[in-house]
Amino acid sequence: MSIRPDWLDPEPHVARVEAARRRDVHAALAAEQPGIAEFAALLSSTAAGELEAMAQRARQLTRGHFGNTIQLYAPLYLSNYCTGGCSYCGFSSDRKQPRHKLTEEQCQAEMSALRQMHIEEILLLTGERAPEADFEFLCNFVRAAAVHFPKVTVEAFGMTEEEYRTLNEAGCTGITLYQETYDPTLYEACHRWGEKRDFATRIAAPDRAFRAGLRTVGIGALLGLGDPIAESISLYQHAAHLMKTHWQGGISVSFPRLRPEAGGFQPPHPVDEKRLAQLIFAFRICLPDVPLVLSTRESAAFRDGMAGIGINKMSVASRTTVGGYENGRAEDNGQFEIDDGRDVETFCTMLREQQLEPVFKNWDAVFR
Amino acid sequence: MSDTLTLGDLAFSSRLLLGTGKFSDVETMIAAVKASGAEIVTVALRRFNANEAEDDLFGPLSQLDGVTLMPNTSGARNAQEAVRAAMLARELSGSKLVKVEIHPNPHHLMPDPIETYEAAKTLAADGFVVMPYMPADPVLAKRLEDVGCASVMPLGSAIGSGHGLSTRELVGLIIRDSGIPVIIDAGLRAPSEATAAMEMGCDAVLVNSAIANAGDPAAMGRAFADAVATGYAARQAGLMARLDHAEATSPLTAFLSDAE
Amino acid sequence: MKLVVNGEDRDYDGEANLAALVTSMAADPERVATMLNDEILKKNERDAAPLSEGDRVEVLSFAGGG
Repeated sequence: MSIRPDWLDPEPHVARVEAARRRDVHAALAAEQPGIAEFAALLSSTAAGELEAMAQRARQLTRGHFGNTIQLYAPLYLSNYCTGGCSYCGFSSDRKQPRHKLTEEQCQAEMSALRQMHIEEILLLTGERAPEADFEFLCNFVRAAAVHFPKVTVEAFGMTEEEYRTLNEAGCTGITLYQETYDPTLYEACHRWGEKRDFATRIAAPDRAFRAGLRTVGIGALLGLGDPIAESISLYQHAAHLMKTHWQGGISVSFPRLRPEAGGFQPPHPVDEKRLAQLIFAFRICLPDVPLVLSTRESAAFRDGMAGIGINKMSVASRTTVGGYENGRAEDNGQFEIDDGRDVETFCTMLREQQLEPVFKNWDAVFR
Repeated sequence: MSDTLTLGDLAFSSRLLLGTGKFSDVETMIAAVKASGAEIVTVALRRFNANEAEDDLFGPLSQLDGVTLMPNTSGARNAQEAVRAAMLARELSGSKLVKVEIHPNPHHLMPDPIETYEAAKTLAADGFVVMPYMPADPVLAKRLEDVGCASVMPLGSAIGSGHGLSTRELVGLIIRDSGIPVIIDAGLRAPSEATAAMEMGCDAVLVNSAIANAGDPAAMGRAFADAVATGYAARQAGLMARLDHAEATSPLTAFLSDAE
Repeated sequence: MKLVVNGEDRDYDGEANLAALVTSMAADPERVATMLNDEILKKNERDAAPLSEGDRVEVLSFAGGG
């Protein structure tokens, strides 16, 4: 038996992608209840030739469900200590780089810097579970952040259901946890050591988080790692599974893209902007009410273009170094390189010029 | 959707369920059941009255091959009464299928979501194959699934109204998220509405008034059977997309370069 | 003795058990469900179910319903 659940296997649908004709693409664009068949058609090279039509449909659906708004959030790196062996990541334990973690005082300073930027939703990040930055460390900062931010989400390491429950009680509203790749063989090759190495435990983490009462889970595949078509199909199936199983849970889908690093990790299946746009449109068309997220990994021009046509949630003014907001520490490498470095005000001006309203907060933790 | 309609551990090949109320006489009803090919027919519990022995449907229905009785709990105004009705009905029919139907308001007969939920929870825990008649509410549908119902049966429109599938939007959401069969119950008038329900992805439909009150109930039963089969076949075949009118706006993808 | 059968008062002087009452009503015992003072009694339990003054009995059958 494979460690990958059958419902996640992309294989039965890959053939549909290859077989898709224009007629199938047009049908998918107009489908009332799009499913995996429509999604597959929209991933095809035939659909790539219909990118403008996909964009039009994606825009219509995005505006229809989310209105003329873009939700904004900012990441806050708590620590770059890491015991993980992810071959593609700048925090991997074998990468030679200075390690830091925030003290309580530094964290307060970072948070007040973010508050001054009007940020209301904060994503707290760490590396893989490490003695220097463990579960308790993370929980303390979640508690501290929940005082200042109505929405506190966490992107850290996979946890037990009990830990997720504790995180929830500490004031965490949701987690982001990418499977990175849905191909078990590739997964094992990329994750060379550490507890993250276990594919099956990782894939079930969102289920554990929802069972523990967390409100939202963000999922994603690291684009560039595996075959983008197979990865996208599995990602869609993962989303569909979560929506069916945990009907009270909110999911979102992110599109983290590995770019070739000079002298660093070379993604085996690089995804260019057109391909990325096509994937995002396909997800929007087939999951019309699921938030789709784009980070500052992407260029300003690409983000401006995708805002409101597929994407409805973005990070802004991100620093991916520990302590990046307060002192703008420049000597370290971040987890990934930021392409869109605009500040909040500049970014919001761009959105307003496109008749899009920046939304910092759409939820208050009054009853928590 | 497989070709078999699976309800709990029971399997059926017909996707048309028939109600037995409102027929002019037993013979007409039996003829309609036969013509419709229905394998599940609903019955209600009533106080026995020797002077109205005509009303006893158990005898004639049990003569029919391949028909499973699905007693309903109509008349119950709360969960407790519905549970008792279900227990009595199981004792009589030997069938663990039960249609939970609780409508306390005698005028519009809308199902009570709270009592329905409570009764469904109790009956599912007791081993019944629970089929709740319910408002077309996507949240309630998931709650009923969570407590172990074998299907959800959202109303198309008010019982006996013949207003068709007026809850289409909501039923669409129920179908999208449901892990158990979705059966349209109540409100249908014309076979074309049953076809439409099946085309949009319902697993079955339950019809009573539209057949009982038809000019020729048996013929209408046959028409509904064909309509359900047609809608199901169309769903399996995959409907052509409805084409939108193109929006004349400036290109949205001009910002995408050919290569990075 | 006085019983309340299907909601109506009735004078009953037959054999004082539920099975006999059902038969006295011209009901086919296989085609009715019975309840004695809110307790459901199975077909094979009726013989051994004594009736006494003031008992409430429900005898139910299947009728048309949607």
